[in-house]
Amino acid sequence: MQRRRFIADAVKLTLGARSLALLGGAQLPAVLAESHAAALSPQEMQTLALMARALLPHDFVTDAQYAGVATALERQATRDTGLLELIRAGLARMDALTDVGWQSVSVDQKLQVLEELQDEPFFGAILNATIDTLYRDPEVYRQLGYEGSSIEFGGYLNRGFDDIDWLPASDDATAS
Amino acid sequence: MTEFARTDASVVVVIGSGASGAVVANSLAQRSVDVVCLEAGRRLSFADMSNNEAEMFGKFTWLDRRIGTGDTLANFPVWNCKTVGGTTMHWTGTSLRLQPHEMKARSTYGDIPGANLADWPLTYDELAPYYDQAEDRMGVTGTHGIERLPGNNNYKVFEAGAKKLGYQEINTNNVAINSAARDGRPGCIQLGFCISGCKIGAKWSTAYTEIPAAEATEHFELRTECMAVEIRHDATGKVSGVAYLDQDGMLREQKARAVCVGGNVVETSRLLLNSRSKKFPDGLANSSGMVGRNYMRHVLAGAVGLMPGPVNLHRGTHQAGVVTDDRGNDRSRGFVGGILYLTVPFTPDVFGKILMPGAWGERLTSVMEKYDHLAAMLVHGEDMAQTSNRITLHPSETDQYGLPVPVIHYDEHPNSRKLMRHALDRAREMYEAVGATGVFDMIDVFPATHNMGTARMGRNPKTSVCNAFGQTHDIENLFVSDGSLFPSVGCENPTLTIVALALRQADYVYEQLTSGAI
Repeated sequence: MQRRRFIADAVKLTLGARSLALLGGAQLPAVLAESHAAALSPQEMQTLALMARALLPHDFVTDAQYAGVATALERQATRDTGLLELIRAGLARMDALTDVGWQSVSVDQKLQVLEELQDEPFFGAILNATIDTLYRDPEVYRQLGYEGSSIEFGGYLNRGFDDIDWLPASDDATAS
Repeated sequence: MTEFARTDASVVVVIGSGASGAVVANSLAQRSVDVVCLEAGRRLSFADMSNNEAEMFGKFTWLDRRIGTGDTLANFPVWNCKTVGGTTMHWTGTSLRLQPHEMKARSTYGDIPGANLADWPLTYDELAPYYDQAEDRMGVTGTHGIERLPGNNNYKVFEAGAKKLGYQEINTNNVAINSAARDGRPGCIQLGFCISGCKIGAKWSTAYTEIPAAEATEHFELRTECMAVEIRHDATGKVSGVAYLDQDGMLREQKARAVCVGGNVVETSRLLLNSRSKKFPDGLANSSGMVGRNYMRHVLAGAVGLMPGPVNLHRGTHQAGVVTDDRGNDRSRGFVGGILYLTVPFTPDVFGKILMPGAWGERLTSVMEKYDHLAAMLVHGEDMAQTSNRITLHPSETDQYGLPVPVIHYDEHPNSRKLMRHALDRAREMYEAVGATGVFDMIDVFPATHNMGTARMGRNPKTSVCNAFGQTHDIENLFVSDGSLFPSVGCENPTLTIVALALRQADYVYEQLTSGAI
């Protein structure tokens, strides 16, 4: 019974739907407007934050956390002019593939543009930064089920390292 | 702290403080041979170690520029460490012996087109006593009466799947990780951060075993942040000292009676090739032209199962289990060489990049939101030596030391892809047998963590670099101590064999020194 429920969970693909819907009308988070390092324009920063949402759409990730991807990228780009140029040129191409600018088109069109550019180096750089920034954030990775540092809790020896309970019974219960 | 004068030409200089260098150095120091060990990296304490993979990666990984060409990652072809303890800081502890037939690759596999196979110049039986010593020294579970570790969840999925397929040689692996307190180090508490420097020291690393033991002898000096740049020789062609850049970037020279190089293959090759002189225009010990050639790794890929219930694969030791049924040589499979299946965990940021490289959007997040339902294993197989797979010096690019950047060229041998495909199919069946709703192959995403073969041992000085003790054919007081020595690699993780060879080399060096031969 329990097993069937898990399988149903596994094939459910409605994840991130709310998150993606927010791509339509997101506003520039205050954190971006006020505190960025000015290597990128506010407009570019917002595009990066929206793009981060499109790349990793999770319902539990907040606007501020997506904005954090833009901030992290800008910080990297401030030290690396090659990366800065790569990002700026890439964002310009995203805009150029639409009539009114990438931020202003529909969610479907936004995703189409990204699909068109997904093999470009700038896209890979932004995707990697998005993954690193969000999936190394304890508030995000805990939602995925990763538990982070364990030393302060004495490891997992007495905290479920072998607590699996759904495996089918084996005819031979002992390892050699 | 013991200190030796740089002009003291009676010392043995060991380059590197990892699995090979620290073991050779400590073994000699224990017998009152004075040793100076040059280590390019910094010394980290347990307080410097954290349960944070990304942070520890930044702290101890060798991140100086390297260029990969061919079938390897262009910007990060090799993943090893630059710190006291070397790559024993991030190794996972797997300690399996080579099988006797794997030390006779040429005789066993025959003439494989495109490969340059060779038999080892020593037999398994000659190495066996040193395997015994190494296992005892490192505290390898499942040997010498040392209990194996308990299996974690990732292991239990793996074990159940393997049993469904009829595999029989399934266990929680032979690892140099204490299952109970031993040798002044505690038992494993299943932290889940084996590759981040074990914060409690349950895993064997030379940083907190061999190195402090050597220091206690007062016959050993460790110089950290000292980058060897050239091995120098005298008019007779014997090595006489090692030039290095010290912590302040000053060029120094330590005189030496003998030199042992344990830089983990890439740096060992670079140092030998960069030590050019009128007498040795192609670099030291390179009259055969084989230095840097026959570079081998292991065939390596991953399989990840999306399981019907929580696994929490991040809890506990990394290589928590092994299946060894397929490690023999069975030509009916369509390839030569053996396969190991080993469990492995990955953190979300790593899975995000390698589970489905390039994937984004809901395709990626729908799986990542099932992170706790993922089980994972590595398939690990024998690589074929190829003369054209080699480490060279870039003709113009230099690094922060002013040294030529190493270029690592690696083309995959056709045997490797057949082996990998076979192994991934079996891995998929294991997970499907216990209910996986999806299985992902991770191919061509890993840098090489195992590096071998570039100063191979052999009997013939025209086709090999070193003899069966790691002594270079060309220069009697110059030794190679690391995985560069392997004429073939088998399918087992290399560290145990590196340590066994280092112990054997230390015996030989000691004998040569005391007899006055060198």
